[in-house]
Amino acid sequence: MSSEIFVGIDIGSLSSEALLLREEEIVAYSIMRTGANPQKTAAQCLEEVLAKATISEKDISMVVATGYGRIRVPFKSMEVTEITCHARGAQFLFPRTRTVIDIGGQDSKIITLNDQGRVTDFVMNDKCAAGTGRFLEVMAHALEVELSKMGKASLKVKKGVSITSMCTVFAESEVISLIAEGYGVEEIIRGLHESIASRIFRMSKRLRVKGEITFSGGVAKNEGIAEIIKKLFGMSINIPDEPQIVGALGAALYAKEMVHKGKW
Amino acid sequence: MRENKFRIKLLRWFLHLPATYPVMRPFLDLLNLKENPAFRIWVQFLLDIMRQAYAHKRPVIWMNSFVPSEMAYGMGAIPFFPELMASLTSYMGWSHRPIAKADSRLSTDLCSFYRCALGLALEGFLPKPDLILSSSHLCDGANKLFHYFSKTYKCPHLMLDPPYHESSSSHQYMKEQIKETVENACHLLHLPIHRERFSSAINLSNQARQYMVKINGLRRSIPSPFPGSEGLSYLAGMNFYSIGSPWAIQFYQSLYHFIQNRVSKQKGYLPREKFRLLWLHHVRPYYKNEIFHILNEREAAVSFEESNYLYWPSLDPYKPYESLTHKILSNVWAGPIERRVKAIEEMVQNYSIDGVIHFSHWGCRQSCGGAAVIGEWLKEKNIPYLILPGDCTDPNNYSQGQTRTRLEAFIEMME
Amino acid sequence: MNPILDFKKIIHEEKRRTSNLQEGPVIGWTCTYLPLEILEGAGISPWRILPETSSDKGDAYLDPNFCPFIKASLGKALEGGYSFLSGIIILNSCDGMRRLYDAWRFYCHPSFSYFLDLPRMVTPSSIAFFRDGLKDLIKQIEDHFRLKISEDGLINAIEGANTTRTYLKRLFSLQGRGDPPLMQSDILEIVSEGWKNPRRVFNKSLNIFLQGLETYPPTHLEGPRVMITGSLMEGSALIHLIEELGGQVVSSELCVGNRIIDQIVLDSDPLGSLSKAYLEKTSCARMYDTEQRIGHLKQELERTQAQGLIYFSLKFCDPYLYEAPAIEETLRQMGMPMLFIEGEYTGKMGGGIRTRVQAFLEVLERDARK
Repeated sequence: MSSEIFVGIDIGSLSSEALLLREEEIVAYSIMRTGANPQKTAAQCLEEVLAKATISEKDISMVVATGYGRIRVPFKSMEVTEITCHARGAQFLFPRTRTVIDIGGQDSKIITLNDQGRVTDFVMNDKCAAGTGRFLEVMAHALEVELSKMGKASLKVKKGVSITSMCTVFAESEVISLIAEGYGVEEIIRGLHESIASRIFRMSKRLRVKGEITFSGGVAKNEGIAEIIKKLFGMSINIPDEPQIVGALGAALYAKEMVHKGKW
Repeated sequence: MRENKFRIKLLRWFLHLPATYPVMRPFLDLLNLKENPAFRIWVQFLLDIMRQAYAHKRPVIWMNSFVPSEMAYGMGAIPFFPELMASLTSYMGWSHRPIAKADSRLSTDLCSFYRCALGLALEGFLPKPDLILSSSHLCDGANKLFHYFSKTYKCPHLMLDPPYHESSSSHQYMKEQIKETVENACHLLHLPIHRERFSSAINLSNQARQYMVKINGLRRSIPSPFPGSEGLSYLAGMNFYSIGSPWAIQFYQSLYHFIQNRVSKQKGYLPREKFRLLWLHHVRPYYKNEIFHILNEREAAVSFEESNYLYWPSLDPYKPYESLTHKILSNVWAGPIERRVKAIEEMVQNYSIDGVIHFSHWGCRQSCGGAAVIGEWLKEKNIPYLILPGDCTDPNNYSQGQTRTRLEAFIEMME
Repeated sequence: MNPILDFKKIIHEEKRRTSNLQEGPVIGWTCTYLPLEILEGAGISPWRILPETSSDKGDAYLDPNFCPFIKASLGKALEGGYSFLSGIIILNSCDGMRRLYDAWRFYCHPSFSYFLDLPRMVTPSSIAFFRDGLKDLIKQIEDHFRLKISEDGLINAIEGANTTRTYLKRLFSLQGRGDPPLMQSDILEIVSEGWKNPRRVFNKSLNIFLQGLETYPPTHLEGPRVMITGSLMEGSALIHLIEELGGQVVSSELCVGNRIIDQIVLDSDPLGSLSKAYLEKTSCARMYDTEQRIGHLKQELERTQAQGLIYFSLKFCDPYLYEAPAIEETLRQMGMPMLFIEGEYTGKMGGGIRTRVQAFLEVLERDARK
């Protein structure tokens, strides 16, 4: 049965991903904005990824859904939280991973895992979106900088302006007043990145962080934040080529495990 | 708007009407689909204290949850509990309104039980008190808010101030306080101090306690015979509010037989039980939420909850003040955290616990402030531990998606 | 002429001149209900735990909805900012302090830690109970540091502290009589030197400073007269802000302000005198008797002829947040404007607070013109 296809689908608050896995190989993936209708987005995501790989729906062995919208994926066989999936996915990409930092659209999480890729403990941010992808988006908008260029911009300066408020609403007005006070955009961005990274570092104190760290989620694409996190933790961190698909990958791996264990 | 005002007036009138309570009883019995007869006694108990408090034939004392209820029963007064009303309001899905009402006076970062209770008082839903009695050992807010109540209703406010350490000096101080408080209260309410009535309240408290010991013993059985979600609602309610009254004995006796029957048939409350959980903190969200549904779905039983941990010794009916001193000072949630941790470790062992959830009620400093330290102890013993932030009565502080993810990830972690 | 710089110079000079400044242990404390005389009587230097800035290091160990002062204190301890302390004494001031005691012991492992129980009521039995607690504290200190706290030592310490109280009273009485040579923020800064310096040095310096006070030109203040009350705040940032915006702070009813004991009257039982005086001092909202606090606030408003009250509460500070409605109601009945501020523990006063304080002062000014 070498042609078994497993699908992982991750419906996040901001973006959604679908991924096809055959044996140990990622066949194809698709990424799109979640929008207001997660059911529809899930279907579109799947359609797109199947088209990319020219595979038909009936060849799929199992679909595992994860992410904030996992319960609303109509065609799932099973749902698993993104915490379990990120641990699986990260360990598949970097087998020595023992800690995963995931900063997504509206949540940030730190997960510790064992050598089997199983979660041993985790923490999540509290209810507000401070220091998440959404937070960065709002700040990019306020600073009139493209989101994808924030990382590089912040690396141009050594030290950021200190940002006192991490609440999205207050930080936005603080950022605007910092511009008025004449601070450079790069320094402000660096300041924002520093506050996000130190928030993550503080959260990590609730866990026993050890081993290699893998950084996943959309925010991992921001090399500025990755750089500061690396410094704070005092070790290098793994960043996947496409950090956004780690959750979907983990879900597909979970599907594979279920089928192989005969649980599905 | 006008219609709304009319409805509020109607509801206020309805609550204060003596006929309401006997009329409601059979209805509630009909509605009551639980197979458990103890639940019916709980409903009757609630209706009874509400009826008595609104009818106001005897002096009414408002108390916070941590004042031993034996005190009111021993004095022959009618106890009334604003926090209980807040949780009932929340259970009926109506707490957002009184909470919004209280927002003009209290910061939204304060405990929603108190915000809701203040809102209910401001709306005129609560029966008028003759005396207000609070205890400060688990909550700074109680002292201050209950004083504000006393200003609002223009009645006296007395307070118990239990010491932190257990020592001969603190026993002496506590005993004097209880004695002075009872004497002052009786004097203010024109009630004679009846030693016999006090002894009888302590006696009733002991009898209830004996059943509680048995029930807690039965709950060690695998599978879990009784759901923690109910342990955190009416069982905890009876524990806080009925001890010292005959209702407690009726209730606990009935519950004991119910659970015993289940245990003898090896019947669990879940069709299948994969994990046994311990719930920390006295309370849970009372408005409509998915927490216990998610746990049930995943076959995770809440086998026991901290609120029903029996911390106090059997009491001496002939020494009521000393007895209540023992009861208050042995409370494991007061004093150094080691005491609470020790009790938790004991519960983990006795109830064969696989994982521990600390429900962090927004605004509760005494409990939430210890959550991290407790976690260190449990992690040392490799016991999975989840801090679940939330709010017991304010649905605006409940994040459905986050709560689900936390709970499910926690269970996946144990799998 | 800058009085603060001058005062600091005097202290510096006095420290240099005073020989044999004891090199005894230093103990950190968190609440002004602790009779420092006990430590001083043992030759121990008390050090008030009052971190200069907020720190988020402690956030992971306490709940998100927790007093920012307590989090800052734990944060500074975790950063090693209190490694010079030989121990800590935490009081049963509030729910937050109990949890700070747990977390501090668990995460920072101090070699000496003591939790002093603190009654909320003032009755003969609570005074006796607090006295028992003080006695136990003495015993624990004696055992741990292998020393003896003699009655003479205690009496000396009480007398020393009484001297400070006399001086501080003079300092605070400069307010509320017009044309003070010192601003309220100056006074608070001077008071805060007392938490970092040996009593002997502080007393001597205060004495010198007070004698030279006449030489300072009066600060002509004409703005609205404001009294401030509430929970602990960091430094005098809010008071600075009010003064910067043209308000006169005529009374700072705070535990970093003028909430101090008048004098301790010594009798045959110094420990009993301490117990009584500390429990009876101008009360914090954590005490039972809100009415007594209301009475005191009314008196103080009248004495200083304040035109308005600013009520400050730290975020998540239950005693002050729950007390606020009762105070608000009283002020409304008095026809006295009140501004309620819920704030963080940082030296910075955000733009929002600035706007509100300014608007409040404008209201007071307009009312005064009417």
